[in-house]
Amino acid sequence: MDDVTEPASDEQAPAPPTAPPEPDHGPRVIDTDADAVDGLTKCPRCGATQIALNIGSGMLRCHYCRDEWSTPSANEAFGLDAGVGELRGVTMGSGSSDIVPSAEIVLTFKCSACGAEIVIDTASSTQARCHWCRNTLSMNQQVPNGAVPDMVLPFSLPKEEAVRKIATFVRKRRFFAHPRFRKEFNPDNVLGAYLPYMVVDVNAHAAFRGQGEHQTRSYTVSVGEDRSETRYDADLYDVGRAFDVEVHDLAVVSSQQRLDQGLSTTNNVINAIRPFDLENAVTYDSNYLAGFTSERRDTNIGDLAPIVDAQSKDVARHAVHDTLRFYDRGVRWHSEQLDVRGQRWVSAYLPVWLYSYHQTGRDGRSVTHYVAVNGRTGAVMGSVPINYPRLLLTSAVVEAAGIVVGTVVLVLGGGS
Amino acid sequence: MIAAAVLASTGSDGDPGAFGLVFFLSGFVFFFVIFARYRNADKRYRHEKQTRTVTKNIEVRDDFVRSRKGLSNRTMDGANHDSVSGSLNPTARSVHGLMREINRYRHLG
Repeated sequence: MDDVTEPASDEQAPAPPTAPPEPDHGPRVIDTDADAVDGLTKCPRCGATQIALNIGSGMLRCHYCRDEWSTPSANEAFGLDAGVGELRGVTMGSGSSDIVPSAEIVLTFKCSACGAEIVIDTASSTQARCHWCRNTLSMNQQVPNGAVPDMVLPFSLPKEEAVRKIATFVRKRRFFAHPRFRKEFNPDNVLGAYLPYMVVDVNAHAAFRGQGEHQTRSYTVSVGEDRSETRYDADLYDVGRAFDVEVHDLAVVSSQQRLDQGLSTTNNVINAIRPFDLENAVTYDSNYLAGFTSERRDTNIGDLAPIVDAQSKDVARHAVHDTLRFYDRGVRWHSEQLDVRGQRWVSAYLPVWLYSYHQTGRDGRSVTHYVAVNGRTGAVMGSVPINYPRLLLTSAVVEAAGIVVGTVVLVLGGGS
Repeated sequence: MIAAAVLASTGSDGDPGAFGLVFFLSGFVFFFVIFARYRNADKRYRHEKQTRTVTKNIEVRDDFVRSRKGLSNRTMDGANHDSVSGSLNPTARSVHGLMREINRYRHLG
């Protein structure tokens, strides 16, 4: 029997003992590189190492025997497509672990075919070719430098198609384009790049409280002698919505440089070509990156968590829009709570065709303009450097014409 | 976009002569329309609408408080049901806020 002492009746009862906090077990980690092997990854049929993505089929192809195969679906291999509603705490892929500052970015591998030492700069690639025996060495095992993600979404849009889309996009914006850009623009310079993202599933409970207004009448009233304005009558309601919400595949770019989307950069256009069909991502194999460049993840879950929390709240806020249609004048939430029960973080490389143009102004400041094409859907967005003298001159002409027309309209309007 | 904003500010019930004011801004409108078309600085991924969600066990509360008469704004003061706080693009956030304010006062001629 438990030894319990009853408090004296004339004493204030002590607060009930609180349960001891759950021991912090840390995040649950999904091992996503269990079978990964560094070095020579060979064609399962002929043993060659010249392997690359066949964009037409979406599979890896051996350049020698033309055999094709693919790595398993990431959703199936890691169980990412189900159970969001059951998530508790933080679950993460092993490729999403925190970057250790001392981890090497430039790694040396020993070629198992000839014994030569081969260097891979993981900042832009996870492969290198042995300069002695011409075999390709791959880095597939995850080291804590952010170079090897949990999954990759291979390109499915051919380069020719991306070049055509970029050319069309720029052609529609030629007249006010900077003359040097017009002269130097060559869409064939497009590069295929795998950009790093964190893909997050969130299981949460949301509770919003506030007030909403429903319009009951609108009418016109006279203001002064010759003006009228519209007035509105409305019913005011106390509004509350509480619900469980599952957020699937919320993707946040995980490169510090790409997170800066202010006016001094054009990174926002790369973000604008989403969404990606993340359900078709596959387990990571460096051979998917052959012939493309890649950008290493350089942020951690802790860096991105505030963004994910804010975006999850945005998603939850918009998820109940359908239940607010009655409030045609809007709803003002004064309390918004999102209790996150569980999250699952998986790092991914996502495919983007990028045309970039570096522009340096007279003041020395420079901007890199991107025209980006989604490597899966073909969605295109970009930034074209502007010929400001031409635009300002044309705007001045339009303004002068507008003043003339506006004066005529005002005179006629005032006379009627 | 700016043109739309300016046009939105001239409601059909306003002073017809005020429509002429739009022309006085035409050069500025032209500049910003071309700037927006070439630089696309306000473009962003609309995570709030394009992210797949599942909602369950929703509890709804709608309690009538009172009727309000003679309101001059077309939309509710401080309405924030469509606000976005997690956008990475500060320009898009600014434009979104600007358009919301313009929409509130579009009844004014």
